Amino acid sequence: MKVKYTDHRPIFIPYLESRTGGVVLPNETNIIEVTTSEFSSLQKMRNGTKKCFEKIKPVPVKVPETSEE
Amino acid sequence: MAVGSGIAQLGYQSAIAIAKETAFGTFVTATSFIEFNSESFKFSREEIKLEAINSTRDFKKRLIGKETVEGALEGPLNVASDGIVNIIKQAMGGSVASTALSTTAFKHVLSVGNMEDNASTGTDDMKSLSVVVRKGATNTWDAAGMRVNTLTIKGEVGGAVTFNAEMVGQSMSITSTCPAITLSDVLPVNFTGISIKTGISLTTSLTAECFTGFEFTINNNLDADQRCLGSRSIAILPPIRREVMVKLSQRFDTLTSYTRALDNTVTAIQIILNTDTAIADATTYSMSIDLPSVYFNSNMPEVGDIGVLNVELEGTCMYNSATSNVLEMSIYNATTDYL
Repeated sequence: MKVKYTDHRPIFIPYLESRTGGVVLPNETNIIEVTTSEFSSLQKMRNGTKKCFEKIKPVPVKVPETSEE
Repeated sequence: MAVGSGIAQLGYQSAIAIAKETAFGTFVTATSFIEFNSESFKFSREEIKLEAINSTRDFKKRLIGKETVEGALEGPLNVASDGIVNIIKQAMGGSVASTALSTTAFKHVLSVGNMEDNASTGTDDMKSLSVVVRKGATNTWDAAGMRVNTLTIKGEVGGAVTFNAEMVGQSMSITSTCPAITLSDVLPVNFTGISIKTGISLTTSLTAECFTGFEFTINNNLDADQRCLGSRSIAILPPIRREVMVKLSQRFDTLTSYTRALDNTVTAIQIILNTDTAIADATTYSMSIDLPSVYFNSNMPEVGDIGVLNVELEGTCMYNSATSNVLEMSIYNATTDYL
């Protein structure tokens, strides 16, 4: 799943299954692909009461209407 | 494959994370990871070899005795790391008052306390710390009920400022998972960011002095052997007498420090540790250690060669009635609070 880093503090994640070489947030990117277990631990990271990572909801794909002829 | 002949676990794969416990000894999944140089967390059990006369020369019966959890953690001092700030907060034992300097920069004033009653309004006390200890790539232990027995922060010319926390805990268990590691990307405090000021009191203007090194220590004197029948673990881990000490290294040029000791005059000392890395609005990741009443003990140089004479100033920090504390710390970083 894709998650967004919403905090301003610069962090380095040394290993993710999708980025084995690590990733710097938010300077390099603020959207990363994570596994379910990675997300569950990243969700525990907070700045005060605010969670630092949030799941990006998939945008629903619009099905084009077909004309009845 | 024989045990011990497989692919070895390596030190660089190891990780340490910290979390606040609101109930002493109740483990909380720790996700505030720390970059560190060395750790020595270990769980140990005493053995009781029964001395009973058993018709042989040998011991025949062995019981398991008291369990101990302890370890030291040493690494570069990074004031942007929540794990390190929580270690310092636990060592101080008191509350943290946070104020916003801007939307992204915050000041946290850490007070001394008894490690029990330190909650801010609407929050729970920080009773102790949970520590996740991964030794190598896969094997992780969860340590609960950890408190800082001694905390040392030191710096010298030519190196990063380091912290060393010697901790004692209640329990440790092996776990199958280690949370995803996230580390602060902010640089730690370098020796170039250290400035030390002295004066009559912290409220009067302090004057910068030239030092070549400092070592600041809080010793909480934890009573780590308070147990109950029915359990091998410690029951409580109370801090007893707090000793705060500071050691300063300086080139010997005048008799000022000698006179301070001889006259038994009190010196207020402020140690400022600045990363020079901006957060926002000209605020930098930094901290200050305010010591309102320091008395110097040893202060005379020793001559061992023909070179520059240096003096090691050993100071004892005493309770100050005007500030109602023995020390206070202020930390500036981008974390909202440490409630």
